[in-house]
Amino acid sequence: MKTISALAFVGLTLAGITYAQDTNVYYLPFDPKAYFGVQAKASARQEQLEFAKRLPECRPAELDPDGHWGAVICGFQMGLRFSTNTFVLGEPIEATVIIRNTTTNSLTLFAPQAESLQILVTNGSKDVLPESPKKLMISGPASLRFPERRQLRYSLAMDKKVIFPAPGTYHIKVKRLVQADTGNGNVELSSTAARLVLLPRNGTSRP
Amino acid sequence: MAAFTIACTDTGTNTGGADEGKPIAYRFADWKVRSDTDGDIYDGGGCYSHDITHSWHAREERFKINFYTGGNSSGSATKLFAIFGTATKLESPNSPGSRLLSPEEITIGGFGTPDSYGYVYATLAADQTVDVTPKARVDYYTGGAGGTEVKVRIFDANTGAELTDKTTTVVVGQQINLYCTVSVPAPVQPTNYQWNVPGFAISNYIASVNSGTVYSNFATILTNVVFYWVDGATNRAVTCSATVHGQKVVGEAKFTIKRPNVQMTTQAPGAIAADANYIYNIRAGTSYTFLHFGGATSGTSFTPGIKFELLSTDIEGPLFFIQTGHSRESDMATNGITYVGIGDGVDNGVDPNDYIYPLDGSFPGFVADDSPATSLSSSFTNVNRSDSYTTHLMFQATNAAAIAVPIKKVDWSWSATAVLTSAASNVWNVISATPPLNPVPLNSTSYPTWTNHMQPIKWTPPL
Repeated sequence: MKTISALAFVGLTLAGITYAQDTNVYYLPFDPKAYFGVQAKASARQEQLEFAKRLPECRPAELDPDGHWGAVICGFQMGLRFSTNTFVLGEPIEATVIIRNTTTNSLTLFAPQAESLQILVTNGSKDVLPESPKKLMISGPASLRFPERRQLRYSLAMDKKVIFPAPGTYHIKVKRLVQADTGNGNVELSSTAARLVLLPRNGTSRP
Repeated sequence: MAAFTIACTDTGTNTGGADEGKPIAYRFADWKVRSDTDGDIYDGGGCYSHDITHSWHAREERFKINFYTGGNSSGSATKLFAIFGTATKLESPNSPGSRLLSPEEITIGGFGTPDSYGYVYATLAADQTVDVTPKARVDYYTGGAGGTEVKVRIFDANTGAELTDKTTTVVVGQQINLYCTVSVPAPVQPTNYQWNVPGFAISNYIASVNSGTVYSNFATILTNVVFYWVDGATNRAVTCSATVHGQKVVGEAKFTIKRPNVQMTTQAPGAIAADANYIYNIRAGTSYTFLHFGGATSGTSFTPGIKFELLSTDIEGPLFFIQTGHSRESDMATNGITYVGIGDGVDNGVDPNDYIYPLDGSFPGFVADDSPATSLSSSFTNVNRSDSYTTHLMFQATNAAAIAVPIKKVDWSWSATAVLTSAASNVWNVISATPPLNPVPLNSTSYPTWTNHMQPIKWTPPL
């Protein structure tokens, strides 16, 4: 078993080195700015590339096992990550949701608002916990144009989005609808499930 | 260009003097008999040395050093010069021996006795000629004078280039990092450095989702200064001054600050309505009823509430929007409670953990838009929404360490009240609506500032 783990680690490391040398494999952050000139855009891209090289979340899904990347749907892929898999019940639980364009074409993400993200939580008995009731306050653009291999990052206060009733182990995933550029209706895009352990507020033992 | 010249003045007098007892020859004697040319050595400038000693001489000719202060001064009408003079007493029949005279034993022109290092400091007008001849209270001496302008020189700390008395072109938001030096004879230390930076210059602007803050003040009493210009100008003069020997010296560098001329349009084509015909429903696959300003769909297109389009710019560099504002909503619930929601701060429209307002991919070119809305449910009977925003267009130069600067802004607001007319089917009617009134983009140097994100709206009591 140890041998297999070690081999897997070596394999992942070698793959990481290979990718590090190929700047085309990183996913760059979505850039909300307007560039009229080629030079400024190229300069910004270079900075973003250097930024992306430092972040695991900018790597392809196969090199980012903590990213909980789901299947590629209509060219999009969604991931979910936490800084740790153990939190104390009642304390902030920050989640990062990333939607990326995996293609070499521009894609349009409709309704890019964070409100479009649906959070699905199951506990040990597979019950789906309800999202906190919300009143929608929408503003902003109706869609975002994603250039090739760009990704948009959302930060979610998971503890405010979901009511966690008690300490325990939960599985969380995020989904939303996306629309193919061909306009063939909405299709569900989701992350894979992340496992979280919530400890009691005054205790440190695992439930 | 300042320069020293030697000249001699014929005083026209012919005063006799006592015979010198010791026949000895001297050059550089400052006196000789006017009519006596025997033994003259021409030194230029109308001056002669005289190497024949006679038993009689008259005080006829005087050695003189003139100093021309040069052309127009920069930064002020005067210049400060450090002028040094030396004199060596020569042997004479009445005073044997030669020695270098100490600074206290001489004067330089009309500027008095030099300091212990042999310098006098004189503030002089440009294009002026002054006497800087070393004078000593001995009959026979030789000497000389020299000096230099005490000049303040300004350099670009990022490139090392000297900017003094030049005009340098920069871009708004570009980091201006300068230092100045004062050319002064050692070991004098200039004091009281003072920079004068005209125009709208700031120390920094730092923006994040949590805050947008302008730092206005920057140190102007050091040998260096770091700042950013927000406004444009032509031939704007930055000066660095210092005090040397109690006298002020000033250096100057001029800047032409380019500011992008951005062509931008603003339209507010959207209508205020309370229904489910709202773009978010179509895009997100939901079916909420909204009180919304703009966002109504027709086929595959929609009409935004307000739309900002960037058409062109004359300076390369990213342009982006930051929207700040105030949103207030009052929801009267069926349980008799009125909930008031208030949001202040930055509003990026997509993620409450970001602050740059993104462009809308629904339109070609560079278009940002907003169609604010609030969902309506039959738990409430009356909803009033009142928003006011400022949408700022920002520019960031491509230079290293450049900061964003505001270019334009659009102030706009909307308000509406909707009442529930059918609880069973959640149908609402708009009873008052005030869309934006002719919003126009105005040139702006006002930075967007905030201390929090507008979302999530804070409700009292909590919803």
